[in-house]
Amino acid sequence: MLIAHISNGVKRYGTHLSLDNVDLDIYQGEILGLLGPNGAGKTTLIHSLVGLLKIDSGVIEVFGKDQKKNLLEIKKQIGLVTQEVSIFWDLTARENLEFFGGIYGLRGEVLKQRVDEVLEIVGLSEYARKLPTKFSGGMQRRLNIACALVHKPKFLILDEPTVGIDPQSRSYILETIKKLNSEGTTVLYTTHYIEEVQSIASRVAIMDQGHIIARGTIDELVRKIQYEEKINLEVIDPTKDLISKIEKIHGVKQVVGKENIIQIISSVESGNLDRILNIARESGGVKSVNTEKPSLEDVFLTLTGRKLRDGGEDSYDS
Amino acid sequence: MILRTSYFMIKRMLRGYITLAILMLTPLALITVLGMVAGNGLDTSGIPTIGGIAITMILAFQLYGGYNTLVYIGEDLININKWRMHSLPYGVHLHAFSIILAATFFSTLQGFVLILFTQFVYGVDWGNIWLVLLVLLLISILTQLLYFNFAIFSKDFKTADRYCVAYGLISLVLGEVWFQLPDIGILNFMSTYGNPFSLGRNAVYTFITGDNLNRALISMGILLAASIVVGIVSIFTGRRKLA
Repeated sequence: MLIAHISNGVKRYGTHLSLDNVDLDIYQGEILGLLGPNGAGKTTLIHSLVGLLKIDSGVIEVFGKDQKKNLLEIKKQIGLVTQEVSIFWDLTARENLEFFGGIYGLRGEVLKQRVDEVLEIVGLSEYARKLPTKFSGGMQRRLNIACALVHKPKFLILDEPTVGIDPQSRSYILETIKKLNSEGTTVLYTTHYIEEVQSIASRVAIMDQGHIIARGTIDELVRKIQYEEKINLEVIDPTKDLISKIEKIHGVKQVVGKENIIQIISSVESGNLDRILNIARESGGVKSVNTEKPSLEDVFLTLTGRKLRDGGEDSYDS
Repeated sequence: MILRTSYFMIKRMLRGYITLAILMLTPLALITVLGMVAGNGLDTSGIPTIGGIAITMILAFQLYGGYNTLVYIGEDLININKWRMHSLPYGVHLHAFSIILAATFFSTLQGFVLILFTQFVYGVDWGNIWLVLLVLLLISILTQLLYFNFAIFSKDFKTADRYCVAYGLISLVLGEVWFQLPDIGILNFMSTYGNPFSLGRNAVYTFITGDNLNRALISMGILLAASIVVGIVSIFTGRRKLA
């Protein structure tokens, strides 16, 4: 079932096309990773989906409803985690959640219970009565997420929620998102960290210069750009006969032996790994085996001709 | 909903200790020091000097009581929290209204605390204290609405802040706080009815001395009318700039 759908979305700022005929579907229960460098149009796309920006042309539907006509109703079921930490610095963590919960109509015991739950989810229960000015950057980011969770949104949108935080907090946030997703929340997660997308996304859309240039599961995207895989085989006895037998397998393109390591380039999905292992076992045995497939970074490089973080952005250091 | 969000706004304003200190402690210190320097005489209107100083200081600082409106409109609806607030199923105009409401209450309360303090500690006779409170409320409403417009029309906080400072200073100059203006018709009018400080002072002096009731009523009427006009302007500008 579709949670959100945008077709032919166009958004211009002067002569700059921030969204260039964007088509995107987001399905219920998935984590869609929206990957792209800064300036790709990710935030514009998110803001358009939530109705914060009006697109110049195109159609946006959320929860199967026309977004323009049902904006208020749609907003009630969406949680937006903004790129900047958007919390009230002069209210405690609990008061922040009470404020936002109240806006969504939660009151009394229900509000209190939900605030407690969300504080628990983001690991801030102990700091409920503290002002966010006393928090670390990671804790502030977690409170930022909590403010978007307090009303139990069906659709959670996170706009680069881990920028500039320590690896532990990053890991905590990613685990929290996985947990929320496993409980039924649909997630749209934008980032320029490929590792995060690989870690949590069930599907990926790659965005560049206002276009969605590729979409699919990580495996599908990888298959789009490369039809070969590299197999590194460590054998006990690397004989010429063994290398010759491997070379004769259909789909094997190259075999290079170096000491007891044999490097094989073979077609992806040819099922050759099993055949190669069987031959190697018959010829003395296998010590170890690993395969190297192209990464999302390679996909991005192939599709755009540049690396995702070419712009000198911070590195992912977990 | 507006009352609920206003409650949180007041909480936030109460934690703005620097603003609180500037708007509460500075006038108190000035009243104390200037009162000691001036001694026990009477001013030209026949009220004790300390009373005149207290009126000037409390009304003057009311002109800067819109600072909370400036800061929170900027933070919540223009800068840091803009997208979060726009993503909520709650009109941003309602949040703007709750900021103005809370800031008006807060600023009036600050002035009222100063009035009570000067009455009980320095023995200032404020006449009918509830009418004085009404004057503070009228000045506060006008000030908050002006600060709101300064906030949404300025390109950045610094520029808006300069407009706010200018609003206060021009009012005080026109109110002849520091020096007499030349005896020219238009300036005479401006120094009597042409700025919120003088309008407030006209009314408060009447409540203390019982003289010139007409002038007090006209002054309060002008304050109310100005607030209504700026309020209507704010509705249109707010819709256009904050939507």
